Amino acid sequence: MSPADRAAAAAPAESGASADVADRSDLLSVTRPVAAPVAEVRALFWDIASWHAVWDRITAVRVHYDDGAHQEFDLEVERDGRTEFVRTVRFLAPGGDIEFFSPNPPPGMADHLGAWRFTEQDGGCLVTAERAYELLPAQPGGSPSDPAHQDYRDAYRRRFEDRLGRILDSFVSHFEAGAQPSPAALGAAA
Amino acid sequence: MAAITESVVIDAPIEAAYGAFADLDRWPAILPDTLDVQVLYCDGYNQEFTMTVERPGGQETVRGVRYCRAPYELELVQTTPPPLLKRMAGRWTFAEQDGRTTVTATREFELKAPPAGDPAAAPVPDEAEFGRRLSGHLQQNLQLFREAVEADVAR
Repeated sequence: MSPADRAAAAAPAESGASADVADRSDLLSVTRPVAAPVAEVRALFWDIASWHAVWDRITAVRVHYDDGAHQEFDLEVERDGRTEFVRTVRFLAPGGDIEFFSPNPPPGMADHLGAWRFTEQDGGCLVTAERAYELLPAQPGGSPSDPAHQDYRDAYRRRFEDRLGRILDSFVSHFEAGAQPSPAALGAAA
Repeated sequence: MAAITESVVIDAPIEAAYGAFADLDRWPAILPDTLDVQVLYCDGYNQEFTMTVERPGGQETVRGVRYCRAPYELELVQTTPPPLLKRMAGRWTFAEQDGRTTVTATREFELKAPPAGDPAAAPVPDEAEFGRRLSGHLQQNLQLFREAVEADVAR
């Protein structure tokens, strides 16, 4: 299920005012081609303990649970000069995409969920990062209906898109450099 | 992993049956051995919770995640399974025919290895015995849900 569908599913349960909730959610999608087979790319995206070797903003990972299809971890990651702590639950969907939500979302967000999607293309892999998120008001006591909040959303969205692009670019570079796949990647690709 | 399956037919539409299983806040009222449920996160699709149940050996608290695919399926994984288990996952599926809903519950589980060299440790059931107990428990719970949902519909 796409983050957009999941965000829509959340709306009626949350408040009964589905249009209002949908208006508060932002959706992002960023795609990059990666020069490696889908299975190898997917396996490295799943292997969260190896991410720090690819995306150097990760300073710590603690995996609480991983059965190959479900995974829960804490992530310590640097963003804009600060360290953020995020707890995430991921699910390897039957079609091979990795879907996730963050019960403890990044600071500044009320909700954060998304997916990594993998599509075969000419022997390589198109990776799409999808996100659905809701920002908290920028100022304490502020309201999402403040006109300034829309400017904040727009600016945040641009920065988030840029960050997702840089994360994906780091994976592109990792595979272009001919990096050896992790043991977990080899196991999953076999 | 070992797997078991149990099912029940509920004289109610699929939405009513699905709704009862999806609403974790109702569980303590439906299942007598469920002492407490805390929903930690729910966005309408992803759901994370803790559940404390009474067992012969004392209270057990598990933590789990469910994916709520209304009204046809709830998928479960216990990220903190019961003490005897290394893994526990499963799903409930819902299918309606002629106004009656068949609920099928499957569980996949893996027992922890028995403790080595501890004569005082409680005996650990083997996989077949544990599967039989789990099947009985699952069927009992399905029947309790059937009674609750049918009572809802009769009101």
